[in-house]
Amino acid sequence: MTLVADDISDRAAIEDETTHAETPVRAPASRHRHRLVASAATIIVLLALWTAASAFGLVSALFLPSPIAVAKAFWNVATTGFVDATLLQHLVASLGRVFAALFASIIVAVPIGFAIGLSPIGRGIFDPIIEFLRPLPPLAYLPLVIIWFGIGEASKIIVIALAMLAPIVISTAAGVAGTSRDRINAARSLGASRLQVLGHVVLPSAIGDILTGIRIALGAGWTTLVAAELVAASRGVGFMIQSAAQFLVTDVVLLGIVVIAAVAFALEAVIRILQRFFVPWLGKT
Amino acid sequence: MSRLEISNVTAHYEGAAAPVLANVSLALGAGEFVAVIGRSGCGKTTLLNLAAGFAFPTSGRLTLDGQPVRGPGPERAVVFQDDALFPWLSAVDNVAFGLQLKGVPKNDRREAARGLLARVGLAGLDERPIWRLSGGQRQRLGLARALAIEPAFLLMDEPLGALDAMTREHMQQLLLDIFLATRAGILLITHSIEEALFLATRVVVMAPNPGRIVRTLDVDFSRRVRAGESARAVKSAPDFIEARAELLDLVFEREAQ
Repeated sequence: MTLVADDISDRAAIEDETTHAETPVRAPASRHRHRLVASAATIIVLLALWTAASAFGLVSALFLPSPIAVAKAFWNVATTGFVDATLLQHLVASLGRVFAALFASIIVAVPIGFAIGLSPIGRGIFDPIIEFLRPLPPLAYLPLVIIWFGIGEASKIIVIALAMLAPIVISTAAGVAGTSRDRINAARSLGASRLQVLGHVVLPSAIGDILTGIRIALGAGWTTLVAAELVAASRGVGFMIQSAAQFLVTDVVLLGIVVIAAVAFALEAVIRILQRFFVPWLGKT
Repeated sequence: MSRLEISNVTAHYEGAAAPVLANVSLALGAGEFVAVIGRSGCGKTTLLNLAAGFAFPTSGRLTLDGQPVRGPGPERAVVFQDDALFPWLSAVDNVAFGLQLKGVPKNDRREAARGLLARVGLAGLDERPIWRLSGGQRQRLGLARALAIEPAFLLMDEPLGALDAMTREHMQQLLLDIFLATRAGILLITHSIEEALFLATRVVVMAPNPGRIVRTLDVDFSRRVRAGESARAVKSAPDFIEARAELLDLVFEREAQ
């Protein structure tokens, strides 16, 4: 229980900091530009070092193919494919698993978050489960899930969903518990029943936090993906990396890593846009 | 004829030994406008929370038409100090919220809400998100939201406290118009002695440690406005100034203790 509370306050503190940085005195545009320039420079320097290392033969191409080789691999995998599937097909397989898991996780985690946020009994019941699950590395329970659910698609989705559960539960609980007392009282004095307060006040109040939980969960799920695809998969970006590694096709391994990073970045950006769309009042009231 | 009765009520903050309110009695009927004034910590807001059903007394009785108050209800709409509007709803849907809870069809409730928006001076701002409204506009909206359910009582917790002087005068006029038109029983918690005198039919002065009522004063300045006198004339009439001085003395004398 204390762990959950700590986690929530930590997260709140982090978000507090970011919103504070954004709202009161806007940093001069030049500072933002300086940061972007520094980031771009870092990337360019790293790419240059990488190119130089492979061009001058400092590292064997078997271990570190040149950026151009990786770009070629990207083209090849995107058009003709690797182990019977194109990059897009691998990507669709992986995203399909992650989103199926996200869907399952939301259906279970949001009601649990409500139970924890609304009642001490709910907190008492679910806290031990969430606190047990939260620090577990998904690889630790992957074998058990396979024993229980076989090596098919179901166990992959279950492992990813389990990894996503705790962040959504914890964020939802924080959002529910943080609903403004005045707004709840306002609704009650306007004649709202308990159920109406839940649907019309608590749920919309918690949407922002639920989306934050989903954002963190997508990160956790995407991280678990490669592990889940190690076992008896025939498609997926994680599987692609794994089979490329077995044949020492290092350029495809590197390509897979870059693709996974890029997708993670894109997912994060999409959720942030959704958040701005669904919770436009955040930081304004 | 609805009647809200607070009899001999004592209340404590959770876990605190000293009472916030001690032996407070107050009645509010239809057509009455009771303004409660007093320095911070005298239990004004607690009194309103008890009346609203948000909090419960440690001893004493609260009744609504003879029935004990067991919680909040739509016959006692509340206007909050911090407006407590719903940011996920547009202005018009905030006002229509109480009707939505009752199951009034969308078009009907929005039409009623639009009428109320116009009445509180927010015509044309129907679809405006509430975080784009000024403080004064938000308080008007909070008032419209409460009025939409046609409550028998309107409980207001310093709704004008955070507003600038000009906006405040306009809001006072609006409150008076609404009081005269609806005849709802109004309980107004305020810091402003002038506001209390100008609007109320009865002014209640409270003092802290423990929170209690030290003076009740029946006044009729609002009736004179209704009879046609201008607000400015009433506020500068000799008896208004005299009553204000008396209440000032009372509040300051208590404060000096």
